[in-house]
Amino acid sequence: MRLSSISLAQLTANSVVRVVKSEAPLLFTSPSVAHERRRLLNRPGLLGYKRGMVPYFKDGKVIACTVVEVDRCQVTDVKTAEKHGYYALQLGCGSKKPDNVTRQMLGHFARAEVAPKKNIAEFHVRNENGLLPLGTFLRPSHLKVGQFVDVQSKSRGKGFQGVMKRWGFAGQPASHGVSVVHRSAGSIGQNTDPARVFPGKKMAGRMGFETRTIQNVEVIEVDDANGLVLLKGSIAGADGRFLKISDAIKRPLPKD
Amino acid sequence: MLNIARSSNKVAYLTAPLAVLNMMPLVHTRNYQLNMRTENVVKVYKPPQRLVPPGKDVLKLTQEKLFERYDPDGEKRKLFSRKNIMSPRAGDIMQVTKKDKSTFIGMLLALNRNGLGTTILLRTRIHGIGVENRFQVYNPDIEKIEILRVPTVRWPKEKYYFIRGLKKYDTGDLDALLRKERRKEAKRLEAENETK
Repeated sequence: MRLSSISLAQLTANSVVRVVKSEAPLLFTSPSVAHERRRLLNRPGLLGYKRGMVPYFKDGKVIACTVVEVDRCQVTDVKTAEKHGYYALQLGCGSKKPDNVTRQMLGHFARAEVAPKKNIAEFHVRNENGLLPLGTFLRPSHLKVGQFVDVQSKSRGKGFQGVMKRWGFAGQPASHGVSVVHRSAGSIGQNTDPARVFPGKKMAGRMGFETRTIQNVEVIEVDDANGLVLLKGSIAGADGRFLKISDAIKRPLPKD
Repeated sequence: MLNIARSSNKVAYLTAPLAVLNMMPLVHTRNYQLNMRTENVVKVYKPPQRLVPPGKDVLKLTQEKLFERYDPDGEKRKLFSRKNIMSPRAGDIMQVTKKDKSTFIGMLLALNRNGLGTTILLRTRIHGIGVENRFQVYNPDIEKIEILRVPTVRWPKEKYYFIRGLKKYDTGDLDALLRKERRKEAKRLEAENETK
């Protein structure tokens, strides 16, 4: 029996049914969606050094202000989505002897045509509108008086500290049979059941020298002639500490 | 001429002559490496001038600037200078005049010298209640600070906190006292003029 001679109603297998191709939905975890979701700034911030504090009088009231020196803050690298996957500006601040800089970093600075910098830091920006050309100087007037900024710095190192100072534990009584362990933590867990100490248990150890961000710090004064910014209130860390100042993510920029 | 290079980072691979070798009858081939010294010079740019004048501290510069702003004629700085022998001491009776011409008279309990943050603590008694007021000396709202009277006897103390609530030492209503004395003085002068 020849099959070709018999006319049959054509049947199409499920596997070859034509399907309308649809684009895959953007997942919550996909990079582009994640980028949109992130609270990114439209422009870079500033780098500086903490130099001390001064009283400042405003409307007859005294405010403690932090003095920040913006020392030769320049753009050292520009990162784009095409090349690096995100938009960012790398800024450099201060100055360093070329002898103390590695050859790799010297090459990096030479590409931007800037002198070797003491500290560098990166600022993510939303899109290419926030980027600046290599070598651009950022002066204190980049910040506006009255605007709010977030300031990131390393806090003072306190060394190896006990639980009472480090975590605010109550310690143990002065009497009632307590001997030698007045400032100790006490129990650190249960019995046979977990048979271990849970990770992250608060114990004695190195305290301080941690990156701390202080949010919504008001800019009191800016002075381009001396590279000076006055910020309201205190900033984490000792004098001379490197600061990363960016526009506050939780407050809008003031209108021009 | 052809050396096998030992240091890998100073090597340029021989490429062009190999093409020539390919054309020749293959008798024996070996990849040689040509030792070539290449020096990659990295440019180092000179740092621009620091905005703060050399030898100057940003903190000091700020303090100077603020002193000039809050105390343009330098009178307050002169009064509270450590070099000034006549600078206030605890026990002095002082008067503070604000910009709105309101005044406060009190006995100086404490003077905290702290640069721009210098404060004075004045105590008086108003309607039988002890009143203390701490003033920021360099506050531009404070127009004038003057010493009205210096005590004849001083206690050997830098701070006069101990007088609080002690009947023997505590201040009276200084404002009323001074007013009274002024009235007395005026009367005395009047009487003198009449006799003349």
